[in-house]
Amino acid sequence: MRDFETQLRDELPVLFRVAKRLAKSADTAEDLVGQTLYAAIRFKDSFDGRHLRSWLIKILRNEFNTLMRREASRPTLVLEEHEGESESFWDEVHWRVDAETLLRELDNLSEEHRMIIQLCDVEELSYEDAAEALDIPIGTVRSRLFRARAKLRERCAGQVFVEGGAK
Amino acid sequence: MKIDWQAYLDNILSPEDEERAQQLLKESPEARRELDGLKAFISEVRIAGRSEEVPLDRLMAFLPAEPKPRRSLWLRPAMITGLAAAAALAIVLIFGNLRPGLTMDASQGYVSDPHFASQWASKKLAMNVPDMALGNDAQLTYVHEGNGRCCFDYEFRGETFHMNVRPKRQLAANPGKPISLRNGLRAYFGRGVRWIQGPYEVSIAGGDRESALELANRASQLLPVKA
Repeated sequence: MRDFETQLRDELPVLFRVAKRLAKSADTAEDLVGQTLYAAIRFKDSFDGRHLRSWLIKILRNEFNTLMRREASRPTLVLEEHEGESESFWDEVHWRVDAETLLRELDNLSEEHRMIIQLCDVEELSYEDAAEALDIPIGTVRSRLFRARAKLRERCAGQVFVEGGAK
Repeated sequence: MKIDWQAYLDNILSPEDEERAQQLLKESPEARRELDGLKAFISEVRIAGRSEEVPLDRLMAFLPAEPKPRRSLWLRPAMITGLAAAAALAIVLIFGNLRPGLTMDASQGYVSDPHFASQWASKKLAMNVPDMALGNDAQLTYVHEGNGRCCFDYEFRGETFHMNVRPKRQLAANPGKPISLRNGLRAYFGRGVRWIQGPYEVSIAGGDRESALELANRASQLLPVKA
C-alpha cells in the first residue's frame, strides 16, 4: 500500500482545481491546498482509509469556510438561482464554447453549483463521493447537478438554439 | 414524453423508463440530439476544467520531503537507531513549537509552526527561507506578507517583535548606528535592528532594543552567511 504522503501527492491536481473553483483565485487556491495538506497530515489518524479524495475535499471546504468567516466584512452578492424551464434544453447540437468562456461562466455560478459541477463533471467523482465531500444526500447531488448544468448551459449559450424545431 | 437524460446517463431510470428512452432514441432525431447535446456539454465542461494549469512544483513544496533511498543492508541496524533518535528529537521539536488549537490564516499567512511558515515564506519570496525558530521563549504567532517581504511575528519577553525578511537590497544611506552581531556581521540600530546576510535583508522591530538585538543574534545564527 502506498504511503500516505504519496497518496496526497497524487491528489494535488484535483485539490488545486477544486480550491480554485471555490476561491476563484489561483493564489488563494495554493494557500488553501497547503493548509489542507497540513491538516491532512496532522490529522491523518482520523482518515478511515476509504475515500481519500472526498476526505481531502471536506478538509479543503472547511479551510475555505474558515477563510470566508475571516473575510466576513466583505459584502457578498447572493444571486437568486432562477430554476427556469428545461424543456428541450440540450437540443443544440452545434453548441460549442471556448474553455475560457466556460470557466468564466462556471465561476459566475453560485458556490453550490460551481462545486457540484467541479466535483461531478470535471473531477468525475461518483455521486456517493461527491455527497460525502459536500456533506449532502446523494439525491441532492443529482438534483443540484441537474440545475447547475442547466444554469451553466444557459449562461454559456445565451439563448437556446433549436435546429429544425420549435421552442 | 419527457425523459430525464441525466438519469439515463446515470443508469438509474426504471426499467420501464429505460425501455421508453431506448425506443425514443430509435424513433426520434430530436431525442438523439438532446442526449448528444447533454453528452457534448458534459464533455466540454470536463475538458475545460482539466485544462486549467496546476502549479504542481509549488504544491509539492507543501509535502514532507521524500525519504532518501536505503544505502546498504549492513548499515540498517545503525540507521534504525539513528532514525529512532531523530524521530524522538523531531517529536520534541514539533510539540515544543506547536500549541493546541493551531490555526492558520490563509488570507494573511500561517501561525505557530516555524517549519511550515518557512515553507510558506519561501514560496512567497521565491527564495529559500530557513526555519526561523528563535527559541522556546520566542513564540512564533503570525506570518504574513506584503510589499515583497514576509513578516514573522514573535512573542518574546512579554512583547511582540516583527521580523521582516526580504531579498537583499541596497540599504538606505543612513540605516542607523552600526553594531556587530555575535557572529561578526555588521548590523544597524535605527528603527529596530537591520542587516544584510547572504541573499537576505532582515529587520527586527518592536519591544525593547536589547530584546530586538537578542532576536537578531538568534536569527542570524539560522540564516546562511553566503548568498
